[in-house]
Amino acid sequence: MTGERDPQGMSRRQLIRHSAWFGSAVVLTVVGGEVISHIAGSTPTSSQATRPALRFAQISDSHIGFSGGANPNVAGTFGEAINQVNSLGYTPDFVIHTGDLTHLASPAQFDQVKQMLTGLNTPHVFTVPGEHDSVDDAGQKYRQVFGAGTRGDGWYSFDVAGVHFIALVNTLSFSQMGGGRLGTDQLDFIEKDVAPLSSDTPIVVFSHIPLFAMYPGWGWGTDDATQALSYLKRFSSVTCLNGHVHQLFSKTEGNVTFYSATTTAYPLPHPGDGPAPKPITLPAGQLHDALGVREVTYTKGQQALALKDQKLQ
Amino acid sequence: MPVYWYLSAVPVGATVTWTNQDEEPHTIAAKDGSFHGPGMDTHGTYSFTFTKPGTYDYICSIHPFMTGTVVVTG
Repeated sequence: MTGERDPQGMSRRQLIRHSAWFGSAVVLTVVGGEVISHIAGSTPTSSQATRPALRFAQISDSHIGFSGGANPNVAGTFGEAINQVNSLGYTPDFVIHTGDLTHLASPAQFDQVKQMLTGLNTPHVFTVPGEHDSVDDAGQKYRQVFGAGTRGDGWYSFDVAGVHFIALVNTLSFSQMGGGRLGTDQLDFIEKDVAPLSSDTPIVVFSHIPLFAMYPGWGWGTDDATQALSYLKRFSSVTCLNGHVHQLFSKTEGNVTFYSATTTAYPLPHPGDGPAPKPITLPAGQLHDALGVREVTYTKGQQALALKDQKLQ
Repeated sequence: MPVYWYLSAVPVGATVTWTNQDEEPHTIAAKDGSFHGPGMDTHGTYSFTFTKPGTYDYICSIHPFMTGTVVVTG
């Protein structure tokens, strides 16, 4: 669907073998083109009479290697998130980890997170890098572990059940204001990647840093996202899923809906609440409520994807 | 972001050492690419010796809105 250079077959297969990635788990239901989200404290049940054509989970910001007071056991909560995805009552078509797999991009942290992701019960695990995964080497170590089958600095696309997915890298260079950047090579990739698609193809975009201006003062935005989204304007349904901000948030702009996912590690402040996005240490017993996983579903014939965010149980 | 703006003036040949006193990790990365330290965890340090006069702007590559400047005088 995306031309002969589409690496999806290889990348998906290799990702599966290498394992799975995790952060905050989100399961999205894509129905016809958009994502519908529900925030649910309860166990997800498939309420549709028709079985969805596609079901996947999103996890994000596992920060393996963090050991601060906000969560002294990030591996433990990440493991719980993996178990929660494995307990959805069905096997997700894939799981996407939207970045900050590790806290400091050390080889040991990459080994640990890769090993843990193998515990996911799904045929495919996809990832995008966070800035913590590329702190000192522009993402080289990340790509050694998770970059098989990708293009450029780690971006790629693939198709499942008639939905086109684009996984972007916006953590390798930063603008003057500190926002993420895609860069010209990646913008070219996006433009060419979607050119052959018909306008009723549902599009889902993964990135670590939001593609919308959630809070530019903290770098919670992507400077050249406007250019990328201009290539997606003709599509009836575009859903952008990101991590980075460690909290649920959604926003609709025209044909595009943005959904920030929560984390499996520790919460960050709401935009502008305090001088910097530093980890928040919650009172005892409250951490799990701030963490979670997401389900996403798509049912053919419907116009929207459906999202369901679950708190970590 | 004045809270995170640091200005230091040093003579040529000086070695500047940064120490991370935060729970979050940080890096020291020159905007012109002339130096880039590793991720520093809490209490981690990074040192760089400036051998040419000039004005060096740097950011934290993990939190790029955190910026600083070293002015090296000849």
